[in-house]
Amino acid sequence: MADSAVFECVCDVLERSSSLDRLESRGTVRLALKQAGLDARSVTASQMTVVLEKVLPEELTSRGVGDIDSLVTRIVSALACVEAGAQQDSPESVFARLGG
Amino acid sequence: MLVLLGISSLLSLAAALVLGIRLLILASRTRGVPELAMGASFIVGGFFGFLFLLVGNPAAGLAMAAPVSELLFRLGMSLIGVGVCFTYVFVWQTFRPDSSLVRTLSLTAMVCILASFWAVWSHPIEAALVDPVHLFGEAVRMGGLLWGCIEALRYYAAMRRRLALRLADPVVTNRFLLWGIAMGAGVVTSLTGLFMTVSGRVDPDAWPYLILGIFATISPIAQWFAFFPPRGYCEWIESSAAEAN
Repeated sequence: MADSAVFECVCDVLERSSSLDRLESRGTVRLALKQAGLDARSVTASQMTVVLEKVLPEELTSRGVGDIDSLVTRIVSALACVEAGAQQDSPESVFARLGG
Repeated sequence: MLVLLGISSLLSLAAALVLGIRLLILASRTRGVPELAMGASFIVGGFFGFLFLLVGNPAAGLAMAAPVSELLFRLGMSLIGVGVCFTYVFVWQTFRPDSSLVRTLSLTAMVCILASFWAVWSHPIEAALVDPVHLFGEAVRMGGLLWGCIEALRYYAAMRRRLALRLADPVVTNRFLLWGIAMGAGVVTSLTGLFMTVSGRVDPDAWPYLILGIFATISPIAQWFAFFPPRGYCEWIESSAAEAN
């Protein structure tokens, strides 16, 4: 299963707008997602927005990336253009149904 | 210990029947494969399989002709196997629906379980229970429960990290833990039962009976709280999560 459009979008903007290269950008976002218990293949735009605001700044700081606030704002606005693909049935949604 | 086992057996049967019917009704509404598989597993294996096994067991003390009790015992063993096949479908379809490797492994495991019925239906019961083909089928059945336990607890760890960021529902997060516990208890119960069969330690006062009784009680309670959580329990989980955040 390929990485989600949301993940690709964040990595592209991060690579273009910071000193990080492609590999570093993708690795940084993957680490932030892992810390949040999320997966690059299924993360949604709303989940990614929370990760961008609460987890990614610390990861970027530890890599010496500057002007993090405006960078995060730029990525969040880019996310607004990402079309929500067909959402697959995640384990979370299955278990949510089973109790309802 | 027989009393504890009796209570746990009744709890298991009641939980399997109620949860199975509830999940099958849900599946008829949603057309979802996971709820269909889990509901079928509860009804076929957890209720009918276990019921036939209990009734057909000579230790149950029911005055029944030997051929009838043996038939019920064989049916029970087979239906429990079919129930575990549905559990394989549930775990595969819930956690790794896109993996062709997992699909192949799951289908292979199901074929192995179905093929192992040959031992139960072609040998006298005592011989069948220690037949290598049956024991291999038992191992594959336990593998399905262990796999479900590992997947659920692994996902629970991820859900806890989401919960810390308010990206997950605390009750759903807890549901993964409870289902993992139920599957883990199922593994311990199956292993203990297998140990008792192979070693011949079937004395009701021996320690394996205590382990069997404890874990056979844990499993239905965890399943009940996972899929039919009482309102007070949900409120407690939610308030605990709110305090932690």
